[in-house]
Amino acid sequence: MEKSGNNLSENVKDYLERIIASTANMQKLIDDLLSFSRTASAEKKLIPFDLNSLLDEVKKSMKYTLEEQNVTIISDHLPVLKIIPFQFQQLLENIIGNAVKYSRTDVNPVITITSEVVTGKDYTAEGADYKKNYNKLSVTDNGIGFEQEYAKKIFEIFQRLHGKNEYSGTGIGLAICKKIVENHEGFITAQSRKGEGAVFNIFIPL
Amino acid sequence: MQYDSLHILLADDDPDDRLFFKYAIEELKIKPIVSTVNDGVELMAYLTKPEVVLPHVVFLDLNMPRKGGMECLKEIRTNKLFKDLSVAIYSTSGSEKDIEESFVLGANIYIRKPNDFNSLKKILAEVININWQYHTSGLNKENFVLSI
Repeated sequence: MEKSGNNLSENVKDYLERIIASTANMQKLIDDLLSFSRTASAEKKLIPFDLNSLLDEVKKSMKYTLEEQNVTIISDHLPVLKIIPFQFQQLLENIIGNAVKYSRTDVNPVITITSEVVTGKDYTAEGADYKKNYNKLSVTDNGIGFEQEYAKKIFEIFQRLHGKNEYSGTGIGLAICKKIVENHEGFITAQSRKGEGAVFNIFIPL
Repeated sequence: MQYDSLHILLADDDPDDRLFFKYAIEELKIKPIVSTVNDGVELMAYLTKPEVVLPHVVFLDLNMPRKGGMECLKEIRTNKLFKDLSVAIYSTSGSEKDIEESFVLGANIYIRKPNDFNSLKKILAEVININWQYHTSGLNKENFVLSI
């Protein structure tokens, strides 16, 4: 289309652009669905893994996006956890990816990752086992945030808070995150206020 | 009902679907007034505006950001203000669960989004010609899903 762009009528150009955008969306949808179904069916083999080196991997694989958007990632010294490494990497990539995607236009994205040990009995409402301790990993961003009433809904598959024209996406990313955390027998929560950034908390049993 | 004043409201988050809907309506013999909103939150805000002139038929997509079609349907059917409002579910989904649920919640008709423009025109022509009062009184699960 770019080649013969000048010879096409405006109408035809508009249609072609829509077709190209739709097929790109469809491609993305297929990729995301495959990724979702793989996450659901994958073998659950937990191995002790250093989250610091996992985060380095994430930064490496997202290098281009992070540089292009001037993203700063600040992180605590992170623990070694029993995880499914490639799934956990995808989990962090999805959450950091969202922080970048839903960033504000007036400030550079800053993402803070903190880690602490908490007891399950403080989080039974969220689905924690009161007998267990959890490692709570919090990923905080300074993006556009969302209204707290949607904090649960965003983890459901195909749920989105924005029109396709505003932010592209298939509504699968956070459903994958939830599935991954559940594969680790943990849980994930989100807190936000519109315009004031968001915090995603990942709880993994110790 | 005066057909030249039929007012249709479409709630759909997909910009292409909104556009095709308008194009298809423009090519019909009877041209209703069409307004569109982009999701369920916008729909409910539109319908509850104090100065609103309610549409005759709402075309309701199911999967939308912020508030989906099912939630809207529930709110519409539990508000007396909307007792005369006809609701046509307008979705890509053909799942039994969605059909069953929207029937139970009180939708008037279930339309699967067609894949081509001519079928869309036929479907919209059909829907516009429905005598809603008659249709609704004889509604059952067999005639709930519109097929052309």
